[in-house]
Amino acid sequence: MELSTFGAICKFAMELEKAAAEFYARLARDASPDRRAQFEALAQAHSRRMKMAEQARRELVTEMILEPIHGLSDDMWELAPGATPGELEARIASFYCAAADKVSIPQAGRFFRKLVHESEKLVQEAQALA
Amino acid sequence: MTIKTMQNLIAGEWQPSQSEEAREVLNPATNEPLARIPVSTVEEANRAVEAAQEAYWSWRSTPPVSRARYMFRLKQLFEDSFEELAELTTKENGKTIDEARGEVRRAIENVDVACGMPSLMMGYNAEDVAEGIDTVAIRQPLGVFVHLAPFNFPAMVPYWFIPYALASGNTFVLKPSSQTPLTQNRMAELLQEAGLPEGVFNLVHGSAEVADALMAHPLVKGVTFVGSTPVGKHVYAYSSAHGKRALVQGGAKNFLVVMPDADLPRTVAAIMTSAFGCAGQRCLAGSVILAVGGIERDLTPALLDAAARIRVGYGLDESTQMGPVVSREALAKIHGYIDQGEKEGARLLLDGRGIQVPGFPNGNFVGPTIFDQVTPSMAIAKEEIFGPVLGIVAVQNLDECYRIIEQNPFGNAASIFTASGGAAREFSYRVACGNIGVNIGIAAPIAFFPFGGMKDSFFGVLHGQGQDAVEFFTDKKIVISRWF
Repeated sequence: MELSTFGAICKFAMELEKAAAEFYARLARDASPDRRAQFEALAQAHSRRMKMAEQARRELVTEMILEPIHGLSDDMWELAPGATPGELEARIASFYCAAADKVSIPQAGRFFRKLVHESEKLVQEAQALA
Repeated sequence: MTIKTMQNLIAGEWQPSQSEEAREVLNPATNEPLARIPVSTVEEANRAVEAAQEAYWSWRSTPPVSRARYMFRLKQLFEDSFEELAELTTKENGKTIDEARGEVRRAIENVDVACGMPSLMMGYNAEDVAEGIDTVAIRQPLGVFVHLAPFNFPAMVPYWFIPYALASGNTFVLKPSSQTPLTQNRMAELLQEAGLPEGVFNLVHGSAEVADALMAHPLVKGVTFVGSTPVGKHVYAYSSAHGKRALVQGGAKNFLVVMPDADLPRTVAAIMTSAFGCAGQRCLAGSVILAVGGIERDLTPALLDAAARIRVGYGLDESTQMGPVVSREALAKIHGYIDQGEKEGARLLLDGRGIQVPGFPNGNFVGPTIFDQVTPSMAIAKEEIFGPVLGIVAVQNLDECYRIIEQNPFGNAASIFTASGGAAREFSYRVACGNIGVNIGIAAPIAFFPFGGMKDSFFGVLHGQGQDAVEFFTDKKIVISRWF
C-alpha cells in the first residue's frame, strides 16, 4: 500500500513496532534465562514506540501535514522471514529515515529522526544478541 | 440493518423528539444512511433553553477553577476517544481520516485553551480613581448561548465556542448540522461523561424552524453561527433584532497569490492542500490563484501534475488523499460551476467530473479540477464553489491582485507565496481579509488566536477562539467603591 498520508505513515510505523515487539516477545519465550531479559527489554522498547507513533498521529496532525505524500510504500520495508534482530532494527531505522524526509512539518520530521536515533542504538543491542 | 434515530439532550437527559418528521444522515461515500435525526419541535427547542437557564445560576457561581476541571476531564475524554471521533467525522462528512484527525485535534486545542479560563477571564482594577475611591472591572458570564453548526467541520467548529462559553460560566444549547450531527452527538455524550451538571449543555437536532426559535428565545443572550453568507446574514439580522449578541462567520472566496520568486515545489504542495483538502469544503480553501508576472507558465504544469496524482477515495482508507463532498446536492452544485466555467470561456485543464472510485459507485465524488484562462469576472473566480475547483488567473503585478481581491465581496482569507519580505509585508498590510497566509495555503489560526473574516465573510465584532471568545461570552461589570 502506498503511504500517501501522514496517518498512513504513522499507522505503518505502529504496525512495524507491534511486529517488532511480538518478534522479541517470541524470542524471549524461547530464549535461555540469561538472554530472556534482554529480549523482553527490546519488546518493551518497541511497545513504547508503538504508543509514541500513535501519539504522534494524534498530536502532530496539522493543515500543513495534510499535504499529499508520494514515493513511500509499505512493501519497501517488508521483513524477510527469518530476519535477524539486527536486520529488523536496521529495516525499521531505514523506514523512519525515509519518513522523516517525506513529511513537511519539522516537528514530525524531528519525531521520526528521534526514532532513527533510537533505532541505531537498538541495532547495536540487537546485533550484540546475535 | 436498523437505523438509529438520534435523540436530543435536554436537562441532562437524552430524550426522543416528539416530532414525527426525521431526516437521514448519509455517508457521502456511499449515500447509505448512518442514522436518522429528528426535526425537533419549537417546544423542544424552548425546553432546551429553559433547561440551560435553570442550570445557569449554580453553574455561573461554580468557581472558575472548578469549571476548568471539567475542561481538563473533557480534554482527556476527547484524547481517549480520538480515533472514534475522527472516524465518525469521516463517515458523516466524507473528509479523509487524516483531515478528520486534524479537525479533532483543533477541537481539543480549544478545550486546552479554555482550561486556562481562571486566568483568561480575570478582570482589572485601579486604586484611587478619585481619592479614596477604587474601581474594579469584573468579567461575568451572561447566561444561555446558542450555536448553529455547519456541516463542514462537525467536530471542530462548535468547539470554537463551547469550551469558552462553558468555562466562563455560561450554559449552552447546540443545534448540530442536520447533515453531520453524529460527531457532536458523541461529543455531547463525552461532555456528560465529564460530569457537567444537568442542563449546562443541551443539544437539539432540527431545522431552520428550531434555529429561529433558539435565536428568538427571550432567555438566550447570544448566538454563534458558522455557514454560508446568505444564511449568516439572516442569522445576524434575526438574532440582532431579538437583542442578542451575535458572532456570525459566513462564506469565502480565497485568493492565492503566487509571485515570480515563489519556491515552486513548496508552493505547489501548499496549494494542493489549500484547494483540494477537505474536497474544497472549507471556508479557508484557496480557490483562485493569481499568478503574477508569468509564473503561470511554470506553475500550471506543476499544479496539474500534483493534482492528477491526488488519490480520491473513501476517507477511512488511510491512503486516500481526498474524499467525497458531503451530499448529492453539493456535488450537483460543483458540477454546475464547472459547466459554467467552461461556458464562460475558461480552459478546463483537469476535469474532476465523472471520476470513478472503485467500490464506491454511489459516492459524491468529484476529482481535483483546474481551470486556467480564468478572468476575475467569471463566476468560478467570484463565487464560493465549496468544492475542489481551482482557477488560475494570470495577472501582471501585485497591484492587480489587490484590485481583484478588493472587488470580491468576501474577506475570509488570502495567501501570498513569495521570497520577498517586502511583498509579503505589503500584502499582509493591505489585503482586507481576516486571515492572511505568507507561504501558507491554509491560514487557519490556532486556538489561542481569534478566527474570523472580514467583509461578507463575517458579521459581528468579536471572533471565535482565544481571547475574543472569552470577550464574547463575558460582560464587563465595573464596581466603583468608597468605604467610610
